[in-house]
Amino acid sequence: MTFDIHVMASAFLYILPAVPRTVLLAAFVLGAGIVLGAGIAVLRIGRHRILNPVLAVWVSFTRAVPAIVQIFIAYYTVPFLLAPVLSAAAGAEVKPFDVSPYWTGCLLFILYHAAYQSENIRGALLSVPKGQYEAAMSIGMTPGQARLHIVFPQALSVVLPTFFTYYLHALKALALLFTIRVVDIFSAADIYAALVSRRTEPYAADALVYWMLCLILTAGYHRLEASLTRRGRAG
Amino acid sequence: MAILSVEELEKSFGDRQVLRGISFRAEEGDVVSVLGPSGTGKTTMLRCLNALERPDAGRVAIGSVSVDFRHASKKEVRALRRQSTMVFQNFNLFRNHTVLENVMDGLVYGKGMTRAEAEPLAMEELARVHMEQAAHLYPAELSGGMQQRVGIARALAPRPEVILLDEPTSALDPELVGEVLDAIRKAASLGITMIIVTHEMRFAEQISTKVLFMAEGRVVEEGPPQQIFHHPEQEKTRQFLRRMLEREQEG
Ligand SMILES: Nc1ncnc2c1ncn2[C@@H]1O[C@H](COP(=O)(O)OP(=O)(O)OP(=O)(O)O)[C@@H](O)[C@H]1O
Ligand SMILES: [Mg+2]
Repeated sequence: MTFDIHVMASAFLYILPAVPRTVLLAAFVLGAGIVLGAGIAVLRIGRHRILNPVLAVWVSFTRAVPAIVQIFIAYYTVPFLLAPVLSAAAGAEVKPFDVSPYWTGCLLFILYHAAYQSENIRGALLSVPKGQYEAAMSIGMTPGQARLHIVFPQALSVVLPTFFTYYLHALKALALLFTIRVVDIFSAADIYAALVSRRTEPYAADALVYWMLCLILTAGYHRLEASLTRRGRAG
Repeated sequence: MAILSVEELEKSFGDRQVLRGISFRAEEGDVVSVLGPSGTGKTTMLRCLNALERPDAGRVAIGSVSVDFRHASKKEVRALRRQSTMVFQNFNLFRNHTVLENVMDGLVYGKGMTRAEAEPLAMEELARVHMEQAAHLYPAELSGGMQQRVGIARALAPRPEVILLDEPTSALDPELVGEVLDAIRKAASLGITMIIVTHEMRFAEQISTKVLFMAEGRVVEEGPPQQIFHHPEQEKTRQFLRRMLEREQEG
């Protein structure tokens, strides 16, 4: 079987519309994961007697179990949990198998990223020297002001580069959602392969899309980083 | 009326008692030097005065705020903290803020001024320590001596009742010590009350109106610099001064 560059080209065009969708979905699940993870990090640093151990166990579980296993668990449980909620919201009965796997995937990945990001953010918050907070208190800031204006911005400049690395992970991890019929960049290639009954070219086109996307995003990130460094935040 | 009074301050870390009943007073405009061997509790005592370290017992009164630490509310502790500012051994300038912002922060967040009100006042403080040229640099771009001069401007800007300084020159290369001591002299000449923990004996003798000698969590001896440096009454004070003078001659 020969490699047909025309099949690859049309596969490429077939896959492209899935790109914005995937890029946004990855940004959404990681963004929500970061917000949730920041909350968890703050709670864990506060060493709450009950919450801290509970969160620690959950974070350890989520980071240890492969994402694909979690997707399968979620796919067979989340719809049953979500159905009553959606029914109440819609005012009509929604059956578990009417719940879009899209929402199941979103919820799962948000929790998945929250677990990773909580550790990431916790490390960054702890990396800000205690003296920074103490100096803020010593000139009359409230604890809230000290965190908002001094500690969080410094922690942010520490985690920002890792957020970007995780974003590329998040983007690629969405490919796992093909197993539950959510169409991302990879699922689009998979569908096209079935349509034309050829395997090599669509998947090669898919790899090319991922690669180019990664290059473009990285270039964009470097520009952002350079402008932040100029403003002294990353110093 | 004393501007600062400390009564029977006690503090333990675990079962190690570090402060064993510290009492002293400072009048407005006093410059009090605190001397003593390493590990005696000087830093701990200073950090208790602005409640960065919470004392187990005792009373601290600064200006119009008096707090009994046996039963003090968060609100009282915060009010006490607002009476003073601190200059740290390792500067602790806000790394994400420019030099100017560092000095403005106490005015904007501590005193509730607008940025427009705070900026000229902050520039004035920077000029006092000869750092106005560096207003728009970040701390990482400055030498240690320059950072500490900004630290002094930052502590001075809100015009607190008392400035607390913990070994402000001991993290500096020797050639940078002089410029920081000059900045402290200028601050003192404004008549602001200062409590300085220091190992700079000659400087302490020149600048102080009062000297406190601490050992093992207690105030062993206190008095005017003339008395402490030239006619100490306690054997512990004599031994300590002899050791310090030998070291200064070697260095
Ligand atoms: N946060 C802390 N936890 C436990 N022990 C502490 C803490 N801070 C200080 N100590 C202990 O308290 C004692 C007094 O420390 P402190 O730093 O107040 O001494 P110091 O007089 O400032 O000494 P130096 O001249 O070396 O700065 C030391 O034995 C120190 O180990
Ligand atoms: Mg000390």
